[in-house]
Amino acid sequence: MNLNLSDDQIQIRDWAEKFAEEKLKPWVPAHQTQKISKELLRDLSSHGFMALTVPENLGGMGLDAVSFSLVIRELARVCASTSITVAVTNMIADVLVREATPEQQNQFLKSLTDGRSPTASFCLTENQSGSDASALQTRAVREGSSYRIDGEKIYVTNGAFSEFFLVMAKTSDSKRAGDSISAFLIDRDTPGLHIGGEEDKMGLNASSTIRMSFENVRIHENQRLQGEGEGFKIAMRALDGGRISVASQALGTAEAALEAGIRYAKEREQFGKSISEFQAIQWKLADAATQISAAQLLIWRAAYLKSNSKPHGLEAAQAKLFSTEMAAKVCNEMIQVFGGYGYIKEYPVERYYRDVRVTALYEGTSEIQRIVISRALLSERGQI
Amino acid sequence: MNLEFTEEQLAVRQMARDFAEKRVAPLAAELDRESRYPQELVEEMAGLSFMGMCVPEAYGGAGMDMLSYVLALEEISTACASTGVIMSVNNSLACEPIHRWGTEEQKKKYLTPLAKGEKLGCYALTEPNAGTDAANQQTKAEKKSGVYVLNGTKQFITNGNEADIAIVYALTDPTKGKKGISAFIVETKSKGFKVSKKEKKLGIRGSSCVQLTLENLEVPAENLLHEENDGYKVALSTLEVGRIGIAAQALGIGAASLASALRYSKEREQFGSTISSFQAIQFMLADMATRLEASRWLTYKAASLKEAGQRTPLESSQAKLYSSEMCMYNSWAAVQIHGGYGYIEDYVPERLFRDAKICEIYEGTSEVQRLLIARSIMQDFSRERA
Repeated sequence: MNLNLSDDQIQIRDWAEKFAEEKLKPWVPAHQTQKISKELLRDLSSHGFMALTVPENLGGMGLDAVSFSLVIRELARVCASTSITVAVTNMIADVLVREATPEQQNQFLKSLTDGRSPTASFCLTENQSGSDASALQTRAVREGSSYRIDGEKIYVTNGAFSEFFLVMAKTSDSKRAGDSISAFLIDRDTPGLHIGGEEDKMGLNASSTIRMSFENVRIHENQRLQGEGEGFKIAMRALDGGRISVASQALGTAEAALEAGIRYAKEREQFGKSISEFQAIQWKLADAATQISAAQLLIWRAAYLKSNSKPHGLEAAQAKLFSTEMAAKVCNEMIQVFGGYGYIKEYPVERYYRDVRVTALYEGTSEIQRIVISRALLSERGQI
Repeated sequence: MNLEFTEEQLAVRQMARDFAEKRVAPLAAELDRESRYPQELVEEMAGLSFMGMCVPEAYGGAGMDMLSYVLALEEISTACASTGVIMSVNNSLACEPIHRWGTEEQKKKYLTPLAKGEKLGCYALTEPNAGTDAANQQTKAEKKSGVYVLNGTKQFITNGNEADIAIVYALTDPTKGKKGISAFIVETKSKGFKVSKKEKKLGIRGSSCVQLTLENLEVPAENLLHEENDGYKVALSTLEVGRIGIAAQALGIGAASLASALRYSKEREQFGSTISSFQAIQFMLADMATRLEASRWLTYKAASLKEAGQRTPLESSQAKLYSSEMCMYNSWAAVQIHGGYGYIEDYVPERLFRDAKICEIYEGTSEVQRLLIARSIMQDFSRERA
């Protein structure tokens, strides 16, 4: 066992940190009131951030899952909105590498690696289908060699930026999600595809989260990923990886919050001394640091397994559950360290607290993670 | 990065698991009920080279790495936390400081029998008035013609009733506070070494916890461990390893809690289905497993760094703090999942819940760990950034 990062991994981490500090940080003030700019998206794309784990021969950076999680963490330390924008795009890129035909890769993956599509989006959630993802209602009806798609999707991350969408739709009436849902790649300019308005969110204010509707959208069958009925499995495999990146995002935000908390605690004086000398404050910092260390290790464990193409569903669920709940707690406690200043937008912890909340919701709520974990424990193969 | 165990580590874990299941687990309830020290198990563990796992073979040890030690200790503690702490104290608090700080003669004379498990060790730092404030030692060691004469009282000494060899801290220069503390290797058969009280405890009842009275106890000068007045350094470095041991013990209690809760929840039926089908139970199980894994990796990390020869003040404290709080939660949840049966001695969670508490107290309370962690991260936050 060796828990040290390799030289390559350190190099990637430093590269991401440098980008975040130099190119991303200047955007942070603007990101409180406006969406991520085309300029920044272009910059991210041209630096390779949108195809981090895509093999080099397909135009990507060819990173392993541990390096990928380090990049997401570094971006989240500076701007969580940017981090989720990058993470979701990479999740789709990952799906395309794993599941798409060479023709599909040439069309869709290439548009990500050459920047024609600044981001990509995943359309799974619907009004009536959140945690119960299998209950989705969007339909894809086969008509000869094409499909006609009708339905509505919500909470589509990157919707304002993406030139194509990975859409989950029902292709049969079977009650079993495992064979009734199929996955489709759909261009933004396809007739009948309507991009709705932006959601007004608590945090991640620079990331795009939109509604979409599909009305008589006609696509060719070669836009279907894998076989008919394979969609739910594709979605679940995507989420195993997506959970590692959401966990990494939460970790990055928590680290930024702790750093801000330590810095502030050392400066701030009350009762004639630095508040860092009070055990009440030290305890918060110690708990935050301990849980951050634990979260990092759980993330590495899941990412390591993914890198080695081993099953990592349970481990990714544990990493996501632990990291996101830990991060929400840490950000809350760091506001407490800042006192009243922590409630003011001039100080960063106010934003961290809002930004981090969603990590325990998307790509599977904490409750879904607990179900995934307990199911694994209670199964026959369950090992402690 | 490589997160795999080696073949050897897996083999050690399996050996420990087999022994724990076959020999330790069947005795655990009795040891607890009778407050009986498991002499037979300690002898068998010596036979398996579990009493000096990280000591080189040249000094009678198993010559294994610290991660193997953690894996074995978790397994033993899963079956019986009392047996776990007996093993932990001998390895981490008796063998470790002599191995690290002792002279060649001290290693031959004292480390070898300890590592072979022929003799048992204990660690006498705590005093009635020096608990968390361990530097506030009152025991004195006066040098007189080639011997040190020790006088004082030591409190809450695990293994103290059975030990042959004790690592004892005492003031060689009472004017200098912690810079006047020295460490000694003491033979417990020496005149003036007395077990003055046997404590009755909430848990880990199979291991002894005693008060020691040292009255004009003569210790040969060559039994000074490391340098005079530099004993506090020995104490701190030893506790870094000790905390990894307690973290591993907590892992065992946490794992046993989860195992018993899983088993019971699959058997127990209420409202016409097994209680494992209810989310209230499932979510507790999920939290137990997640916290257990987080604790394991914090402990593996501390052990790996220690194995690589590093100081681990931050990592040992984080592993110990988090793992001990995890085992409190897990044992609480195990009782809760068992309902009324969890409160009854016939069921394992009752013992686990009592055993767990000590992990938050000894070898530095949770409060001390938080203090050390806060100090460390405030000095240098960049260390945290892997």
